[in-house]
Amino acid sequence: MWSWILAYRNLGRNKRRSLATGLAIGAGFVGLLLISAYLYRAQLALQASTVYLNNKGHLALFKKDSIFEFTYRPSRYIITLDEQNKIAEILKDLDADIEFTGRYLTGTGLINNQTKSTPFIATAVEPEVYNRTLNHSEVNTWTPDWVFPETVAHAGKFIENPKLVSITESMAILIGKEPPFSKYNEDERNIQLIGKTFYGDLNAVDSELGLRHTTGMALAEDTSLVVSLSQLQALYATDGIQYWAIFLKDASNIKRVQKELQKKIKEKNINIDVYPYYDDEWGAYYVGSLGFLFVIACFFVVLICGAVVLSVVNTTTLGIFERHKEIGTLRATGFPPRAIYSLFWKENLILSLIALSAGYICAEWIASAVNAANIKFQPPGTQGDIRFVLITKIQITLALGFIVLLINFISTMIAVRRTTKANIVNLLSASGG
Amino acid sequence: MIVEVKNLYKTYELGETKIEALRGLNLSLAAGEFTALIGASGSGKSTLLNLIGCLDRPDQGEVVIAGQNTSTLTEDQLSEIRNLRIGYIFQAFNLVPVLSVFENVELPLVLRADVTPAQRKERVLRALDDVGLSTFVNHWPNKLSGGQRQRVAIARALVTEPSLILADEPTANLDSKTAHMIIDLLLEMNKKRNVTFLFCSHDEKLINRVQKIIRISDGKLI
Repeated sequence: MWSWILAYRNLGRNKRRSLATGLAIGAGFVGLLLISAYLYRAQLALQASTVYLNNKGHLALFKKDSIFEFTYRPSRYIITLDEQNKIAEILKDLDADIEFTGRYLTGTGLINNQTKSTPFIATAVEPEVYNRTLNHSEVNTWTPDWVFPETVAHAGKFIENPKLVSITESMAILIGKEPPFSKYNEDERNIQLIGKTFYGDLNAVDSELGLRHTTGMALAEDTSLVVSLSQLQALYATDGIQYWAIFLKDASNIKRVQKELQKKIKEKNINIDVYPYYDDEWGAYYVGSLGFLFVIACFFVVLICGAVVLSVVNTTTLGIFERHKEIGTLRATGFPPRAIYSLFWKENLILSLIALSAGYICAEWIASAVNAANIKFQPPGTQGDIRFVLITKIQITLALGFIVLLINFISTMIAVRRTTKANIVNLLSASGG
Repeated sequence: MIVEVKNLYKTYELGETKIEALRGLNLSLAAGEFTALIGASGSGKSTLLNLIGCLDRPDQGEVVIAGQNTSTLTEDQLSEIRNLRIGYIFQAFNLVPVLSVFENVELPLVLRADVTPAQRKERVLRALDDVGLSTFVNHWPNKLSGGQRQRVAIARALVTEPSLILADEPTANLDSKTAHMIIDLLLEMNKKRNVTFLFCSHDEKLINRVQKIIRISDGKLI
């Protein structure tokens, strides 16, 4: 107890210096917390967007090598009806973990408005699943800006009319049919989807403009089309699918469910691979975006930690320099080097805990203020604004607090190490303290 | 013997210059002796005191404290010897400014696991009573006079009940009257507690009052 008292009182010896160090630690912690709050929010938004809006599911089942090869040779990499039946049986066994599943098919072609045509890259969805993903609570919580309210509200229309297609505003302009499509009569809403079947024949299906959506990415806005699975299957003359997405009840079970799925698929001897949404190949956008954000964040974290380290080392070194005689006296009265380490570490620990508490309150306040300000911005490459939201998480806060304490501990050790090993006579004859 | 110094050598290097502070010095101190170490400035008094007090290591030779050769001990073992066997009184008192009189005296005891808090309190109060500061327990060092501060330092040296107390110019920062009072106090403690005292000083008036005087010149006893 004596050492805590001594440490606490020593902090008051040079109040301005302690305050300056405390501010450096506190400000550093605020910076780390706000970066983590932004990253956490971005990660959750990207995850919800990837899993639900981009239809990747938490896990996806593909034919081996299909991720890269399907576009070039779809007939070879399609999951056939027979294989789909086998997969359905496997998925039944994992019912406790699965919230719902969806079968998907993607492909290219032309959308034709009798007078104008433009290329499309279609995603074919099962109407019920499309409705479910767009209305999912994760989407509502984390990515409400990345989907039009009307898209969510009218998602169920696919169920009523599987011939409907959903196009982006850019594509609507390209074919000369600007939304809302309800202003056009039935004839005017009719369009044709034209494409080559998986067997090389030219084919077309009649569809109807009905819905509008956004991809959230500027590059994809000109070509994105969402259509019901049955429509696209009809266009490509197939009953196969490209992949089967699995949406889990609890995302933290991904690895376990993936393992179980792989095991069961192997037992059934089906040529299928299981990919999580964060797979480098399957979730390239998610992995790349998050990786980029982490690199930027790491840069700032290194800067902040460096500033905290330098500040603590500087203050502790000055404190030690001024207290050489006191340290010498303590050593002369029998204090071993580790007791001196401990004394300075406790001083910095008390200061850090006070600074971290203040930093936490400050960060929460800033996050609340930013969220309340409803700031919107357009990140590069995205379509439309998104809300700037900061969300702190207690586990991340505690982990960052621990990291700051660890940095502090190391900084203290760096500063104290030399002095505790110094000759006691030299310490006692120092002019400081 | 409480202290045995055998063939002690210590050389300091100041740039390219080598200063031989001690040159094959031998010395013995019996239990309860009150000894003054005198010599001219630079004669090696403080170096000898530092080596006997395990604050520094000799280049050659042995320092035996209460039968234990300190030359081969680790830093932690030396810390233990300093805490258990040796008390220090410094010229500049060296009190910790953020600790009260009681806490300053208590300081060497906080490391001792064998002393309970109650025993600690009892020992501190007894030491303060011995030096006449029992009414100053809650005072801060900066509120005390020089003589009072040195008495706190003496109480701190006594509180661990060491077998040897070393004092380096303990009266140098005090006026003549206070210096005599401090020497009286040290002599009294020497008799009362039968603790061995070794102190160095330039003050001939004070030196004349001690029972044993050791003179040192050019790193050797004369």
